[in-house]
Amino acid sequence: MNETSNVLETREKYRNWMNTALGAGIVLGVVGLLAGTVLERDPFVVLGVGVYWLGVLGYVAFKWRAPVDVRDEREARINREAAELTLDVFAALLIVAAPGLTVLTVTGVYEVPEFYWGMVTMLALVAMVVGVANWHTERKRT
Amino acid sequence: MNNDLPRRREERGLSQADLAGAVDVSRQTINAIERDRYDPSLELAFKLAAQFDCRIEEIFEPDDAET
Repeated sequence: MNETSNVLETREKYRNWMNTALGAGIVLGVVGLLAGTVLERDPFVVLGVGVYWLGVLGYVAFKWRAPVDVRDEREARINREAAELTLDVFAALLIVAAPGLTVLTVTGVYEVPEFYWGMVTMLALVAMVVGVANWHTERKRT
Repeated sequence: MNNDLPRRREERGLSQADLAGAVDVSRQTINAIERDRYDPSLELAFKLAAQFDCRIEEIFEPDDAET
């Protein structure tokens, strides 16, 4: 019995490529941002962001092109459960914040800064995307 | 779900990494299954059963079976 199968080797190889692409993108992006800020050269900042996006693109491309799943089933489940937990936290925040901020504004007790309304809007958008994704996934599985 | 994977694996003289390589998952996944921290998918359960030339229910047992 081989200690490491081809699937595991391929998975590891693609994960390394993905992480390298993302890591390089982040490091070079930060370097570009710092260089642009310190030297007061906007092109460096733009170049840094461009390289960062390329790194992210590389990450996605390697993941997409990998001939095997880059995560095994337990890792995929960990990811799903973490995502579920995140959505639960977001939902709790939305449930508390949306009516709470509305009451504060309507009663005039406190003038809620725009930032918080932006946050609530973002949470509501996430909830809508989850709804659509859920509907789409249910159609696929039914 | 309970399982006797460690016993079967050790009987065959396999390490967790060996078994992991044979069924295309990480060593950590085999470790988690053996410690009852993770229930494998049906597909993985079939692969494990095939490795040990037995049926799934000979390796895995639902928690209810204890009572």
